[in-house]
Amino acid sequence: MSGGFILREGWVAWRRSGLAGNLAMIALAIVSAFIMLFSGFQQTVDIARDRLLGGFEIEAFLQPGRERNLDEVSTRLGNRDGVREIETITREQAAELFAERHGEDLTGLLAENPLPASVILRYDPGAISADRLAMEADEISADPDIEDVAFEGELLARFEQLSGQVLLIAGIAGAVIVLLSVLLTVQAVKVAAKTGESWARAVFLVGGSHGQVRGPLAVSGLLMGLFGGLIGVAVIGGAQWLLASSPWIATPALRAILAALALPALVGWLGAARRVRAGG
Amino acid sequence: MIELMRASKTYDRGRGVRDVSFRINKGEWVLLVGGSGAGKSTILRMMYGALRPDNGDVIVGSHRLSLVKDKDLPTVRRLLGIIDQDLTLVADRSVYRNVSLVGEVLGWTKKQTRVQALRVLNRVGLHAHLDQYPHNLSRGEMRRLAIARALVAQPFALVADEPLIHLDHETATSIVELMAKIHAQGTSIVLATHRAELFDGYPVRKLYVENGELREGTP
Repeated sequence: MSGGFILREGWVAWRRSGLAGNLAMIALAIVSAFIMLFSGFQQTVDIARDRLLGGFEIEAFLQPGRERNLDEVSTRLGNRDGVREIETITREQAAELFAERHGEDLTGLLAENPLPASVILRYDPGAISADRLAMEADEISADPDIEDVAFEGELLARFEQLSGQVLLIAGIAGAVIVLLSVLLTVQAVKVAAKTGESWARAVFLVGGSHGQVRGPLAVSGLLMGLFGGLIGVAVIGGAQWLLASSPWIATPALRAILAALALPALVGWLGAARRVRAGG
Repeated sequence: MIELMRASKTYDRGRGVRDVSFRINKGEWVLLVGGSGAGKSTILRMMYGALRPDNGDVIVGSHRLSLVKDKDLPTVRRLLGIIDQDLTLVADRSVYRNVSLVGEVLGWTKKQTRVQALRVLNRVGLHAHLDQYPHNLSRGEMRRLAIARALVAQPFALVADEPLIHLDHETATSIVELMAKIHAQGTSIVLATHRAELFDGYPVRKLYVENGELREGTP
């Protein structure tokens, strides 16, 4: 079996497929574009999550009379897993902050400073979740030097629930769209492969081997997939590159590009090969 | 030599051929005569391995087809020159390239392909149409092109399914004359047709096919 014959005739079969081949290529480009879009959407959700979680913190208030332990408590809490940054606030600093927020008049009414010293813990976004934050708060509350903790756990839990739901819905919708596109693509590839049937029959009649009949048509399907994949990656990936200056859009991930090229090529190859098998 | 030995083939829809036996010797010209759906095409397709008989066997040259694996059937087809009923010309290949396809498939050199293709195109009278495409040819010329492609690898037998269908009397006669020349040069021919009268006067053996059964002699 000649590889040159298969590649040459595969290229001719792809050109011969005409409108059907172009429709198959467009359908494959849509599959590729959806893979890129879904990957980009997932990246954007991750960026949003990181940005949101980067602002979350637990504030641990010291027991009255334990202010002298502030540095020691700060070091102890700072060594906890996932803590990215720690900030200490003395009673005096707390009073100044209170005065800034609520005015000197209100502070003047207080006979003495009632505000406790505190330690603010900020976490690595990747190391935190709503459940983890609640557990951290419980554990820190159990520290003998700590009287109470404050954190916005409910907001985080709601964000996590919402982003999970959005990703799930997008994933299901994306999977359905990709599945439909793949089914449509297989049909379009079959129609495109049908344009090569008289050629395939001619090769069969003059004594061509199975490889010489099937190979070129499968190669034509592969070419449709590759060209479709390249179009999808170029359009969506190109748009992502252009918009990469936006803080919410990441540059295309390599694995998404590879998947967006490989899946259409595979669908094109298998669709054409199946058509040839079905057509004898 | 081609021989069918009690070959039977039944399709899902019920029709086919039953217990067909005959032998085509070297240099013989055999007609399979019968109406539409009689089973002529089924017999020819069993000869070149496009259909496997349910029972019985087919011998082509030294090959007993029941012992030949599917992947080795192309070797058997290369011994025959096959002309399908719909001709299966490749629309986007010129006359020359329809014939040179054989050389490409068989792995000939370009020079060998060219020499053989021009020889056979000259023989069927299409040497002036090398760069034309099938859709530019008349029906008779299309038949000649299909015959040229079937002959280019110098097969020992030509297997033709209804090569005269849809042709006017004059064109059909010219194709029969071409077949006679090919036969005179030593090529065996087995040909399915429902226009047996056009072969009167030629050295043909007629086999009649009716309802999937074969018999020699008169209809």
